Amino acid sequence: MLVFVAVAYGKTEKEYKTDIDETLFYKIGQGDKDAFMMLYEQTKSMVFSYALSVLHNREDAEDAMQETYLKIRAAAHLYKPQGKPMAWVFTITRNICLMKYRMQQRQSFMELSELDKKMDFHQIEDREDRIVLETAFSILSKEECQIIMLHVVSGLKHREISQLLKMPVSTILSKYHRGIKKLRKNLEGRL
Amino acid sequence: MAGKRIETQIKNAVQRLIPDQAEKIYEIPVEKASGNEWYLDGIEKTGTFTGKRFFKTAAVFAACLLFCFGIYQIIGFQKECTVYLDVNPSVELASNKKDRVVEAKALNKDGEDILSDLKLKNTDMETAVNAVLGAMVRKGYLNRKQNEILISVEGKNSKKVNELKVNLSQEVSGYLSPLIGMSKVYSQKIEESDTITSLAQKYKISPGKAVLIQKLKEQNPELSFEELAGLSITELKQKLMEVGIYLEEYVESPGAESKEEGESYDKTSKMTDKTTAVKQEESKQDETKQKKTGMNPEKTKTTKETGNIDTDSKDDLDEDDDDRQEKKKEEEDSDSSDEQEEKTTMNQSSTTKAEEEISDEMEEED
Repeated sequence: MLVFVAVAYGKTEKEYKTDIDETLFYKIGQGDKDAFMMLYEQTKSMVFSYALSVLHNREDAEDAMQETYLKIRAAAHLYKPQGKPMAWVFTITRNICLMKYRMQQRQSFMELSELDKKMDFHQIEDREDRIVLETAFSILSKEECQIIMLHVVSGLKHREISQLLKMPVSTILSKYHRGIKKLRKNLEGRL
Repeated sequence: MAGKRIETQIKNAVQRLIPDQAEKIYEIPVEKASGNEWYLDGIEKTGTFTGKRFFKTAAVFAACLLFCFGIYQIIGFQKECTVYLDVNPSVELASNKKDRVVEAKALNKDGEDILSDLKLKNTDMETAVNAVLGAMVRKGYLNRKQNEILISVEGKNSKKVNELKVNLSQEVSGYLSPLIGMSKVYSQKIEESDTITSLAQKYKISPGKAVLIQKLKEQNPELSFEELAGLSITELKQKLMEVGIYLEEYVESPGAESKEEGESYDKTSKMTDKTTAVKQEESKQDETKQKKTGMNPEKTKTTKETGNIDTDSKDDLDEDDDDRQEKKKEEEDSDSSDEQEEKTTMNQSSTTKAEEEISDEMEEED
C-alpha cells in the first residue's frame, strides 16, 4: 500500500517540470554549469513553445530562446527567492519575444514569399502533426495560440498559465477550449 | 477529430523543434546585469512597496469596515418600542434599543401640523414626547379645557414597554402641569394585529386609539367605531360619560399600577364613583364620631385619598379590611370612652351636688 501511494504521488521529472529549485539561480550566478544545464532542461519546453506561439517561426523562436538563456545567465545573481522561479524565467522570455515580434512587424516590407518560408515547418516529419501546427498558427488568435502551446507542450496548468499571462483562470479555460474547437472544426475532413 | 488527438499532435510537433542549445549557450560569455535592464521589466523586486497590493488590502479592509458599520447602523435603526400619542393630533414615535427616536410619523392632519416644526430623530424618547406635547400646547391642541391624552406603547420587550409606559405617563403629567394645569394622562400597552392595523388605517387614527375604541365596542356594541374615531380624547371621554361609560375602566392613569404583564389589554381600573361615594360616606361618619367623643382626630384613621383611582387588587382589598377592623376597634374604644365619660360626668354632677348640699348646711348653721 505504501508502495502504491509512493507510485501514485511520486515525483517524476516530467510531472514536475515547473518545480524549479530556486537555488539554481544563485548557483548559475556563481557560474555553475550543472545548475544552468538543469535549469535549461526544466524550462526549455516552456521557453520555446511560448516563443514559437508568439513568433510563428522556428528560427526566430530559436534566437529568442538563446537570447533568453543568455539573459538568465546574466541576471541570475539578481534573482530573489519569492517562490516564483518559473514566472521569473517567463518574464524574461516574454520581454525578449515581444521585442523580436516588434522587429518582425517592422520588417513588413518583406515579400510575401519570404513570409511563407518563415512559416515552414518541414523539420516536422509527421505530415499530420505539421498540418495541425501550421493550422494552429494560421487560424488561432495570439492568446489562444500561447495558451494552447503553454498547456500542451510545457505541461503548465491553466492556473499557472493565468498567473504567467496575468489573466483570469476562466478566461484561460475559455480561450483554450475555443482554440481547440476551432482547430477541430478546421481540421475535419483534411486529415 | 478529437481534441485530445490535436493536443498530442501539437505537442509532438513542437517538441521535435525544440533545440538542444544548452552547451552552446553556456559557452557564450555574458555581462552581469545591473537590474535595470529592459528584459527584467515586470519582475517584482522584493522589499519594494507595491502599491497594487497595498491598495487592494486597504480596499478590502475598508469594505469590511463599511460592512460592519452598515450592520451597526441597521441595528441602530431597528425599532424596539413604538409610542402613540393621541389628543386630537395623533403622532407615532418609534425608538431603538438605546431609547433614541428612529422614526416620527404623523397619523392625521393635526399630527402633521405638530411634527412640521420638529426634528425628533435621534433624540431621547422622553424629550421627543415632551417636544410633541409642547407643540400641542403652543398650537392650542392641548389647553385647560382639552387636557386629556392617551399614550399607547407597543413593543416586543414586555418589560421595556411597561417601564416606558409608566415613565412617560409620569413625565407627561409633570411636564404639562405648569403649562395647562391639571391634565389627564391615560396609558395602555398594546399589541398590534392585522385587524387593528386595518382599522387604524381605515379611520386614520393611531393603533393605540383603535385598540381603545375596539375595547369599548366589545363591551358596548351599541357604540359606533366611526363616530368615536373622529373625537379627541377629551370629547371621547365626555361622550362615553353621557352613556354611563367610564374611560378609566379601560385604560390606566398615573398612580395606578399594572399588576399583570403580557396581556393584550391593560387591567382595568375599577374604582367606580359608587365605591368612591361609599368611602366618602365612611370618612364623614368618622368625622362625626370624632366630634362626639372629642377624641384626638389623629387616632382615627381616615380612608385613603379618594381622588386617585385604585386598581381592584387583592392588596387593596386587604388594606380595606384592615381599615375596617381598625375602625371597629376605634368604635369600641369610643364606646368605652363614652361610658367613661358618662361616669366622669356623673361623678362630676354628684360632686357638685354634694358641694351644694354642704354649702346649704353651712348656710343653715349660720
